[in-house]
Amino acid sequence: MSWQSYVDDHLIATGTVSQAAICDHEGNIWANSPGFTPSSAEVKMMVGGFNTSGSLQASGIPCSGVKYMFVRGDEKELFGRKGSSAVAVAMCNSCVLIGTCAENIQPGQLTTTVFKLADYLRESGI
Amino acid sequence: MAEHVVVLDSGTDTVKAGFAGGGLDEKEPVLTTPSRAHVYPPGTAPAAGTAPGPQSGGVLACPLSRGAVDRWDVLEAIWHYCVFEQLGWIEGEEGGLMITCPLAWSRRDREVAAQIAFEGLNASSAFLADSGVCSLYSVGKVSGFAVDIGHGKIDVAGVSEGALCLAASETCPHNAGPDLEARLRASATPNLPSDEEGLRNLKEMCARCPVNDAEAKALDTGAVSGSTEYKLPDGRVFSVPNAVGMSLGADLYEPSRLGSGCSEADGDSLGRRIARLVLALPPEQRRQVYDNVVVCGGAHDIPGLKARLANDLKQYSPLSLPSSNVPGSGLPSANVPSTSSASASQVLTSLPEYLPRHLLGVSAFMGAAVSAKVSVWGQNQQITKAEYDEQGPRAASLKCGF
Repeated sequence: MSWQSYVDDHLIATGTVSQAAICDHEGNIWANSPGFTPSSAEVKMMVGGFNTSGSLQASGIPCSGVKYMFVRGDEKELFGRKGSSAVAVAMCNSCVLIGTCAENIQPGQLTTTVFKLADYLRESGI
Repeated sequence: MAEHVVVLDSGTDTVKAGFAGGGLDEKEPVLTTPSRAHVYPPGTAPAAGTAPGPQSGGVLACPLSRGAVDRWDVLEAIWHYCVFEQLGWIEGEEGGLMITCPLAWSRRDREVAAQIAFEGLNASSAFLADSGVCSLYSVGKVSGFAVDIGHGKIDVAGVSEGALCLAASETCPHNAGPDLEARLRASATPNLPSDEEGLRNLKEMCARCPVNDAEAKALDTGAVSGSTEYKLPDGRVFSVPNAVGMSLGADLYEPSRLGSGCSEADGDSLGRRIARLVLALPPEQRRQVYDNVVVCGGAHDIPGLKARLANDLKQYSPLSLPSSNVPGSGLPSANVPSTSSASASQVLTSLPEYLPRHLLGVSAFMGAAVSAKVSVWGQNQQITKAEYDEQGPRAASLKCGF
């Protein structure tokens, strides 16, 4: 199964994720939806923020040029908001899942979709 | 969509239960029950009709301690009593549950609460909301600090745009109701009520807080004199020196006065604490949050506390922008939220007309009741039984708290 289909079919197609990307911990993108390109610096910041959420609290979560306000996070998941859009970031063993949602999608749905897929990937050892 | 949604706000002293809000008069908690239950070893519960109590072998237990849950089994029993025996749920016709969570509840705690809701109480849907967010919601705000002074702890919760910011929130477990009672008991006041309830009533009546640093200093140097008589609800009259009454409020406001055991951050006064916590937020949000501080919870009405907090918030404000309430500052006030009338000392949020002041004590319940109706069930954000069946307790972490 290609990574792009994870993005297209399992994230975007659910209707609960507006943009998504899967990349490794260094920020090399494995697959992404059009126009959504988190830079490797941004991804490294997210990865660094997983364990020490204090670092993202003041700076926010930068993602593909948009800075989201940090809301909550723990060692596997981050969540940020900006106005009515939101970003959910999940850490798997070898990759990072990033999903955003726009106004018409509820944050709870975004997080459910992204974090569930992350759970699945982690269980599969990815 | 007329699903009956019950709101449960669980505190160390009382559990507030009622229905999700519609009209103004529907919003008060229908039931306020003590957070206590008698626990019996298996098989020895007294027969129906026998009074529960130590005489029949039961041990009185409180499920919460300092805001966090020690004993989920006791809390579940209390919730069961609320919804089934008092609020009219019938097996087979269970409704939705809105559960408020104080800061002390970890993610695991929320998942257990969801599990109790769906598996123990058989709810048809549920949602978990942060009590700080609910308290602010009850006064019509989505950003600000909710200072919830309860029986087991003081929660200072920083909320921005409806989301709780954990880095800008703290629980102060060191000074709450029972600690003040112990202080009162230990003070040199002659002739205190010997029973717990009398002492508690007296504490509630006599506690007051110095309104600014000058008064606090006067207290420390022993310049506060005289005493006041208080009449308890049962008619007994007790006299408490004013210095003792004021030291109770001062200790509540500033835990470092209690002396032992507090690290410097733990002992911070409420005003300094908020000034420190607000810096954890990104700069562009700080003004909005700092300008909307709500004091709520059981002890919100201690005379002098709000004034002291307002004074301290102005004095210790770390924000470089002068408040728009200061006349002649020369800054455009268009984009800085003003909280009420032009009174220069008004930093605390003023109350909307629909919320009578005494209901600030149960503001978490009130906000949860409105939020349940308007933004959760009203917009289909609740966890349904089907979702719970599919995702398990993890659904609580996936769907709530955002």
